[in-house]
Amino acid sequence: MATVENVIEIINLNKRFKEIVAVDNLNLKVLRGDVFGFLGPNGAGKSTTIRLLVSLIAPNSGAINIFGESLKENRKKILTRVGAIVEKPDFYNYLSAYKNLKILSKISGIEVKSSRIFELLELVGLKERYKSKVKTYSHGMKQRLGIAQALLHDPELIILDEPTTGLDPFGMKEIRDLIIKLSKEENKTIFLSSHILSEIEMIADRMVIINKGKTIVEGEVKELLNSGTLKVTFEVDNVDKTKSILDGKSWYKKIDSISEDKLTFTLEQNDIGTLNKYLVENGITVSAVMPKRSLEEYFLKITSEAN
Amino acid sequence: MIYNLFKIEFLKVFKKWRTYIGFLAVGVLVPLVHLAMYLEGQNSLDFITRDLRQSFLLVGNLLNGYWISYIILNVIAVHIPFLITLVAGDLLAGEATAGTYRLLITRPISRMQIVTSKFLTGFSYSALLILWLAIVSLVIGILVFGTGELLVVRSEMIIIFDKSDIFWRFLLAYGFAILGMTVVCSLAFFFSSLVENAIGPIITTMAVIIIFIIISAIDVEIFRSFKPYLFTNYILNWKEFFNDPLDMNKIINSVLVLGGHIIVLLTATAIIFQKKDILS
Amino acid sequence: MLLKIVTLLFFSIGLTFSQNKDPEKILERVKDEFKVIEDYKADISVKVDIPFIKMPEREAKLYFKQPDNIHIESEGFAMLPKEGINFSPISLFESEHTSFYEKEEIIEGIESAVIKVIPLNDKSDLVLSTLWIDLERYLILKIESSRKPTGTFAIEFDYTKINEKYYLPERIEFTFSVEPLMFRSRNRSQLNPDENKQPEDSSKVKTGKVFINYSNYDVNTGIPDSLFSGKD
Repeated sequence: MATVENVIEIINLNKRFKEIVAVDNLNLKVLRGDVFGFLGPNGAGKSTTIRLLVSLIAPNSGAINIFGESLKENRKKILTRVGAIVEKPDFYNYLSAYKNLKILSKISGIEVKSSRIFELLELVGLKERYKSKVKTYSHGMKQRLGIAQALLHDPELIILDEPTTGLDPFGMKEIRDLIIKLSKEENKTIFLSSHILSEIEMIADRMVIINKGKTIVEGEVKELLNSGTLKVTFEVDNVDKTKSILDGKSWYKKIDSISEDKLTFTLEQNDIGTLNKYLVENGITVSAVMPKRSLEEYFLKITSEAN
Repeated sequence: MIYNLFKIEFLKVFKKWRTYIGFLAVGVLVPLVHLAMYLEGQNSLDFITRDLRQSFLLVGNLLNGYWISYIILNVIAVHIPFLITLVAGDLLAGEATAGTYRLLITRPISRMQIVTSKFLTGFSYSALLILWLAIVSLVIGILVFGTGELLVVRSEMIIIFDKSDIFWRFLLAYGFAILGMTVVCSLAFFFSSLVENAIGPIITTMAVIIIFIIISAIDVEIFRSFKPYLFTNYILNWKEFFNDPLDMNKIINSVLVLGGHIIVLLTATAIIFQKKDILS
Repeated sequence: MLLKIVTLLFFSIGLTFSQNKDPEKILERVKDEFKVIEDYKADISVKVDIPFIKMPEREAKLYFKQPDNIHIESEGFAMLPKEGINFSPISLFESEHTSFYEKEEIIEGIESAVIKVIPLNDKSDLVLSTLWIDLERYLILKIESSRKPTGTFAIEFDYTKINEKYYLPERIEFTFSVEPLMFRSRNRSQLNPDENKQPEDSSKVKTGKVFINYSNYDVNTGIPDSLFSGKD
């Protein structure tokens, strides 16, 4: 069995701001090569955790190990191998994109050639504007410049804090494609925070959902999302008729809720087709079948609570 | 690394237009004083020497570049701290406001290195501003008014320094002014480490200086006992280089007090910054 | 008692002499001796020893032309006591005055006449002047004057013989009383009130001295009047 390296290991991490508990006994592991989804509604403690990961703030207790070494003791060594975007992308607005990257390259712990800076500017589509002051950049351009600065010193671990926030759908797709490319082609480990489950589902291998600073669930994205029952809503032409057909059958117990033209069942994945077939055979017109995974349902719930 | 960081910080400071406010202010104010002196200087000199001229025949040019530079240092030394504050108060807090702490501190450089390089930048700015003051006042002063003996009116005596006995005094006085301004810089820097917005440290530093100056100026018994503890009193001791003989005790004492302020403020700043949670 | 007798004795001697000596004649003689000097030029060095004033020794060039024209050229700043440098016996005796012979006195081995001069002109600052006059060379050795606003002053002269014929001062010692208030700064810094404290002994009247050394005399070279047309 090949040993799996923990790139990030967070152990019993706590961070309080006065009376507010931002991170509550958090534990998580990010493995080498992961695109790790760090999911949680706004205010769940994602940004605080990321700030802890890049030493912007210090924990009240607990430990963070990155590359198997304590962040507290080997901060400089670790940060040489980490690139990060923390919250919104801010730069020295009075300097050009190139100058910003140039400055940052000089404090990145390794030598970064100018050609590398141009490569990155090209990668994020800012090469044409490299001379412009950052204050003239749109949010999306800054976001992309943020990615460029995180990649500057070719880090093994890239921490991205909601990198698609504020981008248009096309921009979002660009960033997602870039993250997948970095993971697949360059074997980067990526720690990606998001408050959008579908985004994590699209690009992450493993994930954790946190809420109120606590881990809710952690594991493989596919497993987590596809395990367990689904909430499936059937849109039908006649709700009463459907009810009477199902009455006395085992299906009836699985009805979760009923509305004007919809019935929602709690079903296993395999049951969906069977039920649909049964209804159609009994003369019900099913105009739509909408499955919702329970985790998604749950996530929507905590998100709406947080908002 | 520190040198590298210092270069970066220096570049950052000198790419901001606010940095040039100080240079611009000195570059405009000083020639204005020159102009005023050109028009009215003889009158004010006559006024100062009125009593002397009752009994003495005064020959020669006292209205010279040295005298004007001395007057400028007297007049402007009080205002330079405000210009220093503009830049020094922004050194740390400015990064917080701009959100760029996140770029800096996530890099493999220590916070101590950041504090050190930023302080060195603040110091360089203060030194350059004084140097600029020196150049503008002395060079224009000497070009327009020539050199000559320097008349210094102290409270206890009038001293006339020989032409050849002046330049080194100016060098040391400007050097001392740099030290004094470095204290102001350290104070603003200290306040800058506490908050996330540059306006706070700028205003607080200015307020401290104004309050100290006012306390010094009010000649009341209770305030008098504070005086030895107010750094603003020591900042003006560059004047001691225009004394004969030099009061070395007073000079060394002032240098130590000011140096002590810098060390204490810097240490406090370093400790605070080291422990600071960056939430901006 | 002894002192009283000596004083009385001195006084009576002086009185006897004074009856024999006509002060105006002596003064006239001094003036005549001085008149042979049309003009002169000299290098002077000025040393100031005044409480509340510190100044390095200064060098200057002094031009004099009868009757009382003075011109000073200095590369740098120089501060000269007006009475010391401007002093010309002629101007003193020319204006209306009364004088009397007081006594004879030996000053540094030189027999001299002590003459008191009181200007009758109201405009004069001088109230009373006492002159010690060398009775051999008819030179003023010493003057003591009371002046209206600023107290008393004394000037002592040491002479040298130029070109084997002209007696001109080699050294002047000018002594005067200094009121410290006279030198108080008028433009005090408001911002450094510490500097404003008065010197501890500011109330006391002190004595100041200015020494002027003359050298490199050029006498009667015909200095043009235009040189003196300036303020100095």
